[in-house]
Amino acid sequence: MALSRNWMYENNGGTCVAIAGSDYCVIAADTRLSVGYSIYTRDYSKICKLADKCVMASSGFQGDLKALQKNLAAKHLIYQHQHSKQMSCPAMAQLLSNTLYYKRFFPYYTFNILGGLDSDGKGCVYTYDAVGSYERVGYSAQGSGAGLIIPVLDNQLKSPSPLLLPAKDAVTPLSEVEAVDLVKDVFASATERDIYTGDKVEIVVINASGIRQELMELRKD
Amino acid sequence: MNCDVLQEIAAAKGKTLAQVHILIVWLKDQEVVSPNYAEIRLPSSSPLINLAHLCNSAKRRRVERVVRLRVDLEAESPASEQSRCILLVLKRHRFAFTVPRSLARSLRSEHRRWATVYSHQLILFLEHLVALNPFPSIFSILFCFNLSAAFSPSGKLVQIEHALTAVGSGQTSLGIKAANGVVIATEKKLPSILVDETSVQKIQLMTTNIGVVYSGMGPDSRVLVRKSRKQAQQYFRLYKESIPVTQLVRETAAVMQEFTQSGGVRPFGVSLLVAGYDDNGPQLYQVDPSGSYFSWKASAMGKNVSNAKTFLEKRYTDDMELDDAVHTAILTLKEGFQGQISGKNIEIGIIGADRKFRVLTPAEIDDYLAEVE
Amino acid sequence: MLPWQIFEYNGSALVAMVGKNCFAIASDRRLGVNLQTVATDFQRIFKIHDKLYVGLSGLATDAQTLYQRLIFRHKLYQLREERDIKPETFASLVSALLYEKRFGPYFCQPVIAGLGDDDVPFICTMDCIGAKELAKDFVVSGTASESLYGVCESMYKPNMDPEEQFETISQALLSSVDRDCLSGWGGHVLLVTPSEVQERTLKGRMD
Repeated sequence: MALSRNWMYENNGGTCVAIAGSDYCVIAADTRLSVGYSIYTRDYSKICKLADKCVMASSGFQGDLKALQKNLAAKHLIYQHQHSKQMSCPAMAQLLSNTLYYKRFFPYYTFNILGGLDSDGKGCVYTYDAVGSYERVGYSAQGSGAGLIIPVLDNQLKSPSPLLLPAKDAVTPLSEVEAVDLVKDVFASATERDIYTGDKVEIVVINASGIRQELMELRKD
Repeated sequence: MNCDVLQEIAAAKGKTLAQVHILIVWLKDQEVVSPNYAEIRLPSSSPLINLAHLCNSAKRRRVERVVRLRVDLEAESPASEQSRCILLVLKRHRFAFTVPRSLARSLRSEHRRWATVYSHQLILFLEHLVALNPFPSIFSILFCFNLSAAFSPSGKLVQIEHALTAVGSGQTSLGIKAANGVVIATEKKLPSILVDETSVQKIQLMTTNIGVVYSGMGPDSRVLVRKSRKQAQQYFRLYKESIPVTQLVRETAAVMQEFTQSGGVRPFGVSLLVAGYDDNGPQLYQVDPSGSYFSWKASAMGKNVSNAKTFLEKRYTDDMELDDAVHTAILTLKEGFQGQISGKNIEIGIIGADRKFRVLTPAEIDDYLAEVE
Repeated sequence: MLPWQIFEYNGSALVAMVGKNCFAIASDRRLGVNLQTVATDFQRIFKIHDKLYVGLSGLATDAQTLYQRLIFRHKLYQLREERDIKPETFASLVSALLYEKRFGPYFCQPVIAGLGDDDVPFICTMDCIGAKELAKDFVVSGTASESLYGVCESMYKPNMDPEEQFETISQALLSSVDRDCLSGWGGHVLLVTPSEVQERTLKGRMD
């Protein structure tokens, strides 16, 4: 992956993973923040709660991410004022896409995954590029360790090809516990080979009973 | 070339015919003399040489201009007397050249005088040549001759026979392969009691797990040891694995063979006993000046070789332990030893299953000697 | 074309894994010219002797040339030393051959896998100029190496028996090449045990 595009951007690394199940969604990201060969902090959360049933995990340039989060929070506040309800996850997904595309020619240098529950209570994962192209998928990985993680998820979650089936039907057959375990496994593996991934993994699970967060230690080197 | 016109010119200018030849060749800067000497061979009475050819070697090398003077060394005619003179001239002017031994022997003082008288003009000419040449250092004068050993009519290479004689008159060395190691031993007789015996080491390491001892000419053995060590390290550098004994022995033997066939060299005046321990267990090899080698259970070489071998034949058993082998080695040396044997006048090298070749200290040898007695 | 892109010209995926007294080595079957697929039954894994295999990822022409040189050197070694070369020794030989071309390298990243003395498995990879990387578990190379690292890191476990290992390496290879545009079209898998060598061909996503 290309690192910084020019002096205005930096890549702070980090990996995000999300898995959607029939009644849950797991979103995870490591907590390392680094530039080049330096680690700035080992305890930086890349996950942000955007709505009651919608969280976003992002890697890339954390400066842009902060701006993006603030932007989305403001838009969500206005939405709440106007509609007197929380934004649904699919709505937030479209909003995020628009927000990213709005800055098509000076993009937010962030690679995002949006996870949550849709209006049917079904897990949903949206994966993005930096300029707002997005897709609803059953699982996804973004960031510096994505190349290492994606084929594992492919293998474990038996994704039918997106060419063969609509992607939204690709919700995983795993139970919530199994999904969380899989996330832990792939992070442990990615940490072995990706220097930008490590320290801790923050796992957020969204299901009918709400949002739950857990942390797992990763290698610190 | 031997034409009347040139002779006239030579006479008129007070030069020799050869000088005229050389000048023509030089000034025209190309090969005017056919390289086929037979056709242009000058009569033996003509001065100097059967003329060399000067050729513009820009054809062959881009910058260098090599002057080749070929001196006819075949005939024992007055011409060869002149050849010797030229050699002296060239020597005086520090041209790089090699003197064949047959010629060097005949370079006596009378020739020197002769050379001075006869060839002062040639000296002047050569000086002129050097002054003209922009690359004086690359003047090279090559003499073509062959010095490599040749077969005698009976089909033997006498040089090798002589080398074996040199080995046969060398100090006794022997080696015994035991079940769990190898021992090699040698006499260390010094020319005078005044020589510091601690400075002499006849058994040497080729690698950490291979040792060698020689009979014959010490300096020759050092050349072989140096080459073999280099070979061993090259092997290690390539494979990151220490060289197997067979491989090292073969390489060493190849060097010795090469020196029986190359020009300008003589065979090595040594036989080697190589003791090593590798994946194939303990091994003992003997390498001879001809380049032949064999693996032995026990072997001896040098003076008293037949007595030593008979002794070893009697004492050797297949299940011998290393310590027994050391005892046997000492006893064998003792057999033909003149004078009192001690830790200072013999050397013993051992290698066991630890694969570390070690030369025993005089104190250790004395301990073994005490056990033997 | 930048020099390092030559490694991606033909596309490749190679992986070797250590098991219990055995090893497996696998490669994809695609030969491409950039994005165009030219052959779908390409061999990148070569036999040196019964218990030693070498895989050569990267530029196909260099892989084949290097293989020929390796065979040449090994045959000379066999004749000279009257034995098969040990995997460790062979790795050093490959390394030395590659370093000979330090400033005009073969664009290959070799993977060497063999059974050494007492059938101890040995695997190793190196870069195109011969820097050896000895691994105890698995080694990967080729354009799909990043995916392979991720998958192997997740799937590998020590002391697998041959069948278990076949399953693991096959899954790893197929999952990885599906995420790499330049490698794929099924795979070759070699399972080498002290007593036998099994060669199997995998079918995967043929696109």
